[in-house]
Amino acid sequence: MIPLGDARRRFGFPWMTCLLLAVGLIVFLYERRFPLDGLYGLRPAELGQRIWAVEQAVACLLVQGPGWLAPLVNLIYLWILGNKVEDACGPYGFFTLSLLCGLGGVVSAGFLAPYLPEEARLYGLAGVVAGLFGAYLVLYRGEGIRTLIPPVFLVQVPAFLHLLYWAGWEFVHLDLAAIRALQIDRLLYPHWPFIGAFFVGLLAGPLFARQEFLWLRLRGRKVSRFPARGA
Amino acid sequence: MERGRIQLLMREAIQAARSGNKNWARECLGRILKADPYNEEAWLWLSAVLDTVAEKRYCLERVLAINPANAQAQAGLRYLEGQKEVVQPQAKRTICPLCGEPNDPNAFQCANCGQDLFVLCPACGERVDIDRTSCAACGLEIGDSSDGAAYFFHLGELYLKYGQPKRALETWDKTLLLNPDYPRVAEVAAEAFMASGQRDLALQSLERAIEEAADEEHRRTLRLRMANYHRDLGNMEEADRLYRELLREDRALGERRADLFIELGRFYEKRGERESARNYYEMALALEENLPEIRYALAEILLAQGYETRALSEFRYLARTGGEWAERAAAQVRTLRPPVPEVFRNRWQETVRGAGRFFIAGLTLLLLNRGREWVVSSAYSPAYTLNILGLLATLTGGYLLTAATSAPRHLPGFALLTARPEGRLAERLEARRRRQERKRLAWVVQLQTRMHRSAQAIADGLGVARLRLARSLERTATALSRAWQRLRASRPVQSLRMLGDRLKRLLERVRFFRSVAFFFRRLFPRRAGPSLFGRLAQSWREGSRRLSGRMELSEADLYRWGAALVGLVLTILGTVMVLS
Repeated sequence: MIPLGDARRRFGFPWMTCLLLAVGLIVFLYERRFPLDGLYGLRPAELGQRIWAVEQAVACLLVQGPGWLAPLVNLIYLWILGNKVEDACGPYGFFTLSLLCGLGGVVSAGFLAPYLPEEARLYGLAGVVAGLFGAYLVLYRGEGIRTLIPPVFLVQVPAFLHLLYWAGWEFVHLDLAAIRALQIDRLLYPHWPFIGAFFVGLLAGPLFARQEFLWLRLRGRKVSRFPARGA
Repeated sequence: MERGRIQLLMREAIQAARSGNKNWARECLGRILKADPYNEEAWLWLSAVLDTVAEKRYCLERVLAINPANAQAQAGLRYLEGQKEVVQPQAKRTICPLCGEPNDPNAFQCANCGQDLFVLCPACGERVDIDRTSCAACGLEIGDSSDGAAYFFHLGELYLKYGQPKRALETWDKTLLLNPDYPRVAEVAAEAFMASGQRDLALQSLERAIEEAADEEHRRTLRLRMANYHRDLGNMEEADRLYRELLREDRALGERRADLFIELGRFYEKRGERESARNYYEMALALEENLPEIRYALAEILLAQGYETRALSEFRYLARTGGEWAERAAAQVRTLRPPVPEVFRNRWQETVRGAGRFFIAGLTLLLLNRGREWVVSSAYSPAYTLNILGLLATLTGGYLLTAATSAPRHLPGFALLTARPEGRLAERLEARRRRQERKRLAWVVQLQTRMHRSAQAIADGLGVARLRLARSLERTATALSRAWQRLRASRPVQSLRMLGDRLKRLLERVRFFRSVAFFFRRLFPRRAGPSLFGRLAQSWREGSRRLSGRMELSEADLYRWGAALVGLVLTILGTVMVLS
């Protein structure tokens, strides 16, 4: 299942999404070239002990961690959800919302730290994407995401199924030994608490959306579609 | 004169002679004989329409000189033997524009040529006497009939302008009869033929106009028009060929013309090739910005292609320019972006949402800072109070900021400053207040009165502050703008500006730089009016004049700015407290 999304916009070009994506891609390539060995990941156990944990939390938001596939899926979803959410919120609103979602994810990870391994490192982009999922679900409720199911099917898949699909890629660690031994803590990647960011997105999405967008939604219009001519 | 034309004139002359328009027949026959002096038939007919016996005799003798066996001429001469001279009276005043014959001022038709001695006004259709220069009913200027050919030409143009192409063509026939070489008749006749649906004649006429065109520039215009006719008639291949020719010639000359690009845009739009049409419209607009119709067409294409945002910016640009297209563009903008109604915009929703944004941001930071500690241990620390106070400060600051920027009437006490009811409403409110006062306890009433008085005092104080601030702003702006004017007038700045202008002119002369400028304009068309700097400069120029006259600044504005400032300070302070 390859999400394609759609680029139908109403309020202009999503340049903030493009900027975040560009930075994300650069960080991604940098990480592949010079493995950071968790240097820039955040230790949940250290959260709240120093004031600079805030800036450390912000710094970890664009780091994507090891592996290839999961970070790439993350970046694809950042583009697909980001350009729609930015259309609804405006570039600055979108930036603040993403930041808050990322930080919300870090906070929830902090709360769930006792259930995480000691040496766990958090890589924050997953938190941002989880928050965007929340915002998308609440702002574009009822609208699916266009998806390519190889080889030829091009269908609208409900956003909630996409959330599950994405969470499967991001949070579930397919380790056969762990499955056999039914070790739940080894079956999940340590940044699974970022799902808390999803609730931050759900809550903050309508707060950051444009007034005009909310007005059109209230009138039951599909905002990203063009209105009928002469209507 | 070619043979066909002689036959045409002959037919006209015979018809005129039979219907009694002797002068017109004479005029036509005279033209024929000027071109062909041995035309036997013309001499014979001329003898029939001339008035004096001597003239008739001369004509018949010429016929017999050409053809001695002509029986009609011989019979005519025999008849003339017994005739006497008849003298015509010459006391008529209205001059016929066609034959020059004086007529009775009350006559409707020329007695000689049958030409109507009135015309129908092109605008209102009323009868206008031929010796009047304008319509008595609507005042339309028609022209002086003594101008002859020029008069009929102008009249024809007016008929065409007011949508009567057939009448225009009839009028231009008279122009050609008076002066067969009158310029531009073929050109305007082509338009009239086109308007009256006679397509082939229109094309023929335009071809002739192209042959007759005096200079190359005019010929190019007519060729462009020819291509347009083919386009409008649906001969797309021919139109395409002509447009390409023109484009090639322009390229060879190194020139770019907006008119060709406009027509090419329309051509491709008609063919349904939106991409090309858009391209050409954009090029035309890059050369000339003030083309509202083209900009509108471009915006419609953009809309049809799905570039809604760009279409909107074009419509918005048009809506600012004024005129008919501006109204249509404004209607489009309203359709595409229905405005959020006032009821929705000014309710509490927006202010609460704004405060919520700040609250959720503050809460996230607070949890990031303290959340883990609170989960791990329940021990109290005095720093926590500061953190929570910081969160409250963020909330209050966010509320003040949002209310001041989006819905100022949600600011506490704002209504006191702005809503001062007058007349009957004020009386009714006062009566209501007294009624309510009677029901309340004395100390409450006293407290309320005191509060009311303090609010009034604050409002008065703000009024004084407003006046002072306005005056100082006025002074500052005036002084600044004067200093700027002085700087602009100073010699070094002026010489710099002159140098810049000269460099610009020099660069414009070089073709390469012109091309670069053109492509730059195409890549970055001026979509939404002047640039940011242009707008700033304009507001500065306007502002320097306006500010020195009056300054619009109300108590409400001051209060609003103050509240926004307090909100900003509280938000920053709150964030620091949350993170401490």
